[in-house]
Amino acid sequence: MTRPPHISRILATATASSIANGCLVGGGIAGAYVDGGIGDDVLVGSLVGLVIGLVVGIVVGIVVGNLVGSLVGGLVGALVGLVGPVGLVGLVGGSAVGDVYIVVVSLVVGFVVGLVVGAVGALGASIRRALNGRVFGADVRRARKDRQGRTGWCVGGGRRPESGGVGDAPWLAWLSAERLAEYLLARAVGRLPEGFRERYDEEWFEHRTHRSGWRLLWWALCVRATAARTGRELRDARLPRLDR
Amino acid sequence: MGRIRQRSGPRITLPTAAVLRLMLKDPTADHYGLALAEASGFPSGTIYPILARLEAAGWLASYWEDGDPSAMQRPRRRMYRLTGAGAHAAREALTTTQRLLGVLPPATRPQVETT
Repeated sequence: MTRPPHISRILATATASSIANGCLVGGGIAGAYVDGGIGDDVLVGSLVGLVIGLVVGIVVGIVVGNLVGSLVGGLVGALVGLVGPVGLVGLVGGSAVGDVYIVVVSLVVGFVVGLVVGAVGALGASIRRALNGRVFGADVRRARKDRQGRTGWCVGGGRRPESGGVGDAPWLAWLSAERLAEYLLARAVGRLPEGFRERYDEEWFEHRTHRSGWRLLWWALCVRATAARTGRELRDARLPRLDR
Repeated sequence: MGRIRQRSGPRITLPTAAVLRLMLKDPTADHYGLALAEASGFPSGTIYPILARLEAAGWLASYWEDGDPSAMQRPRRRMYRLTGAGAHAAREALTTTQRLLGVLPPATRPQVETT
């Protein structure tokens, strides 16, 4: 069954958050058991749980394909849980430290918090997509249109993915190095004289197929930063040289 | 950075000299921008203006490589090659630069201006 993307996002966030919270509470209780009482070890255990929760949240996020959502969910869940276990333990009393009740309540609370975080995240993603379409859309669409039917070949064959290589994670689209690089290159080409744009667009398109991730982004930033200088060199060549 | 402008020709900055030195290792070979960037160690953003400048000065000629992108399974490359006059001028420019840097003993006074 295929779920709508935003449902997957909310569920992934909630799952990561509840796992983070569970690890956190478990760590706290384990710390209390080892020490035979409730003290600083609860806090230490909670901090260990926070780290474990974050790691688990990231792993879950990678598996589900929603790194940012799970990271945020895990972080919020862990931070809520950092305070939660101490308060809950104080509420039920020292004799019930090992009660499964604490873990269950904490998991439920973590899941609910995760759902809220996921829903807010989904709303933010929608806003981001709308803004993306307005801010980045025009340049990227123009660059793709110019290139259509001219050079679409990637290393390894096949046409370049239109989505910018983010796969099934639209949440990550704005973080995609491919998409940002495309935007930067589109802006860089715009700084060149009219007659050279198509040539450099194609030349840079070949070069970008050799890079990926942060290296691609760094390369595109360098190209963008010096595009005006490249354009100036090309414009100067059309002027009569005074020193000749 | 001090730049050297020869009486005729492009500015020779340190990255420009590095690119010219690389290309002069095999003056008849074809090079493309990314390979030059990697070989010289300078960022791509530094290389493209240099190539544009040298090409504008007539020291380099550029052309699209032959071949069908579909068959090559990659986009075609823009290749750069030193022209005959460019290779000669590049050697002179490098010699001048080396003399200015004290790598070579001064032979004649180089005609330079600093911008």
